Amino acid sequence: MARQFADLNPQEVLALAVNVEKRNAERMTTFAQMFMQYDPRVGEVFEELAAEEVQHQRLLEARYRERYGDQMLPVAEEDVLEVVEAIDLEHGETYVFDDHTVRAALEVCLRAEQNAQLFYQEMIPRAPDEALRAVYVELANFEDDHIAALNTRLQALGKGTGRGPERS
Amino acid sequence: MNEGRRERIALTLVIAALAGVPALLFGYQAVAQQRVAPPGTQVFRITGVRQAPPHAGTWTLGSVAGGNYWLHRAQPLQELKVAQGAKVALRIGSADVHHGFSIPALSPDHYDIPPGEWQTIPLDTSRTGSFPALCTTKCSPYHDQMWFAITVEEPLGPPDVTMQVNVSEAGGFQPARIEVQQGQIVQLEVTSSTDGTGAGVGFAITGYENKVDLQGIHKGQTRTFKFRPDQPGEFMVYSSTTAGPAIDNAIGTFVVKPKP
Amino acid sequence: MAPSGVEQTAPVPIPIPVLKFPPDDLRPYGRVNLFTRFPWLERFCKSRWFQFALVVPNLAFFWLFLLVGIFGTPVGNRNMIIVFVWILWWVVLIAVMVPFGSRAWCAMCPLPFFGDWIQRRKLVQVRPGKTYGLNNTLFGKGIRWPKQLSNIWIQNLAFLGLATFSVPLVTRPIVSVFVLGSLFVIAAGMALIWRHRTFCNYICPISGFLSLYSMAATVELRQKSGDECLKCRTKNCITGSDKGWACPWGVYMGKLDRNNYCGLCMECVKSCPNNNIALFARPSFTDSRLKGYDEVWKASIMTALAASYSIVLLGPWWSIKNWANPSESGQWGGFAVYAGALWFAALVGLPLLLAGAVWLGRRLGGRQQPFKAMFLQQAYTLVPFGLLAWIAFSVPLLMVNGSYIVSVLSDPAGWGWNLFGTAHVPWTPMYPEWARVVQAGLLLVGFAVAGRKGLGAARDAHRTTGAAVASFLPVLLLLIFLTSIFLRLYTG
Repeated sequence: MARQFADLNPQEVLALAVNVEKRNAERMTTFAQMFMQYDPRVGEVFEELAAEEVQHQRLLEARYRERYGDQMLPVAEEDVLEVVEAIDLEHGETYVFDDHTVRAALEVCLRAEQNAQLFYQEMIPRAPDEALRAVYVELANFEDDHIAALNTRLQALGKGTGRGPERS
Repeated sequence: MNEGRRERIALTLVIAALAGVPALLFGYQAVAQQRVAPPGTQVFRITGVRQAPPHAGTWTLGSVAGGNYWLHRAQPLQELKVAQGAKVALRIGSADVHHGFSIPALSPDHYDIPPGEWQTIPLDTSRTGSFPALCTTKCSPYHDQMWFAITVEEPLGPPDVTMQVNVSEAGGFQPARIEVQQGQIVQLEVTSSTDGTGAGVGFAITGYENKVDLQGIHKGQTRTFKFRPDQPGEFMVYSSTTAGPAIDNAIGTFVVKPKP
Repeated sequence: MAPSGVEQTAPVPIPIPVLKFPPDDLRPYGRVNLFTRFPWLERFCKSRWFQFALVVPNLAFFWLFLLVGIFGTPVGNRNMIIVFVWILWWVVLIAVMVPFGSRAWCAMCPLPFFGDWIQRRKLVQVRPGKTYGLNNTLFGKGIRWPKQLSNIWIQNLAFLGLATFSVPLVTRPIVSVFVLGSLFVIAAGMALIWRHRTFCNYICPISGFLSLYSMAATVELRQKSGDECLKCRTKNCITGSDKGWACPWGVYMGKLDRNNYCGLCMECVKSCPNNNIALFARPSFTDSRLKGYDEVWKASIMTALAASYSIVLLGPWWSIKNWANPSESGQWGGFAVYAGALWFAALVGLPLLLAGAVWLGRRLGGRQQPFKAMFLQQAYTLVPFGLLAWIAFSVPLLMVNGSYIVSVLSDPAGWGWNLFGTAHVPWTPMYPEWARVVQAGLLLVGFAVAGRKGLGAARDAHRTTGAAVASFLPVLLLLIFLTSIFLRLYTG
């Protein structure tokens, strides 16, 4: 039975955060495999983003182990009602019109990271105790670097879409 | 049900559909064709076509279907020969527009043939001769060319003698005198050099009208007809088709010598 | 990573609006889950036999039509391929299946049957595996369709081309055989080279207008919960699984928000690991977003063709009929005039009129929207208008010529059969005196829906109602102009 995010304790929140990063890595690997067939550059971007999510996952796992030991609580996305951070495509017809771009790939990831940060920030004032509040703050700040890195990549694209060479 | 079995069932259904549809369609057609007339009846399927090369209306024995109609290759039916006394029916249809059908010399009936429809018409084969079958509905600019000859002959063997006759406005019947032996199987080859008033010319023998009555021989056509003269004597040859004064007034002589 | 204070971290604004799928309770229209209401429907759609059961009977019919088209009578109204395809199937498609069933025809269409078989090497079952990023084993070269052609322009021109020759197409069996048979062969051939339903998505002329008018349908196949799709990490709807093929239409159900390119094959219903896809009933004309100029031109082409078909096939002007039928009339000069006028109206005239109306409306409305956005928005008004105009053309077609269905049923090939005793039922128009009433009514409904949708879109895009109404006014006048043309055609 899925629970409200607010009902999770700090250990569960951190375990969930690990799971979220892991799941996003899996999603982006799926998208990478799909987009390799359409535009390899877009596929490569998703691969890179997937690798970054795995890094995020490792970092959070390290924090978890520091505090709670090696036994990871089995808290997964489906155990929580809310969506914390889920990277998804822009629209349902992107494969029909082959119109996904590198810029769009970065933007969907950025959007997800920003939504996650907003989510954690909104939870901060609602935290019932200091321990949980500290975890929310930590996770919100965790997203800073991710967001900054994505914005840097977007700025490097300039006004371009980052679309790879057209292929038949 | 396991996957392999499902696939086998599906494949069977697909094959059944692909093979079954033509089998049912053409199979039923074969059966249906036999039911259009009483058993033992020879059925001729004749289609009226508004256009055929060279841009003439035509009746044709060949199949006229969606796949070949626009190729304009329908072979005109010039003459249909049947044996006297045989059970014959004509299955007449239209491949395009309203046609009509009639064999005036054999029957006063006229049949309306709407586009894409068929009529089964029993043929009276009691009387020998050659009779025009016509389109009786003004169907196209080529309507006047839509006719063919139905020739009813006695079932005789190979001819003993062949007589070639030419009919023209200038010369009438040439030769003007034909002599044959009583009991011989005579093959007449009557060629017309004129269309007369549009319906061609005829060839009939007084005293033998029930046997020899060749109607509607058009310009350039040769009608071949076998019969056995059984009555000796001297008979008059005339045109049984109204073809204008020159032909209508022409006469010839047909002499049947008694058996030796 | 050095933690920073919460107060010092502010999210960097992203340059485009956040695209967040609305949760179910915020969806702007009511919908009813038909799978919940009719459990047998869900079972059927989830069955591996679903599509096979729909397609194979149509395959048999299609094969029958081709055979009678080749070997049957050349007389159109006595041949099943003409009567059943261009009277019965067409009217049922445009007047019933599309408005109430979206692309239900695509779920049962036999044209891609052999193509699917070539790619899947299965008729019913699924092949799990790994092929070009998908979780299925697929055959054929599997080349991706070129990006430049990944739109419906080819379908637009193909349909317009076919429609230009509509008179021989819908009256001569062999022409229908040639066209439909060619589509069959092309679909199968393309499946050998390109992946999935490339033929259906980008080539099939029928698919072109189905994609547009399916926006009007009262059903949709969608995710039940947006959050479930967000949380899904395998995206089996698009990648496939051992339970279902990857979407052959290339549609991602996680974000699908319109009917245009969903062929209702129900593979995603089977492959979704979260049971999160269902068929819903919804109000008509719920989808209202045209995504590009190709779809705008499709709407224009279909509207122009509705008028053209009405003039040529139902109108009293014999000169135009002869121009449209040059192979019989020999009037090739007239045909050039007819074709030129048709192509001009469809590709240039009507789009220009619409663009002009939008340009003027934008000025009147205070230029609160970019031109392209407003053009795409207001072009949607041609969807309800065009669909109802086509229904207005088609329903009287059935009323007047429906009796041919009865006679042809007994004699499918015009061979003189009489299977059910109805072969000689004469041509009997059904209440022809009511045709113009039906047509006028349908046209006015189309006009009303178009007006409501156009005004609603204008209201959403402008700050004040006054600006919205002012911006919509020229488009409204265009709709009135078009409606009056059609009313004149139908009612005299």
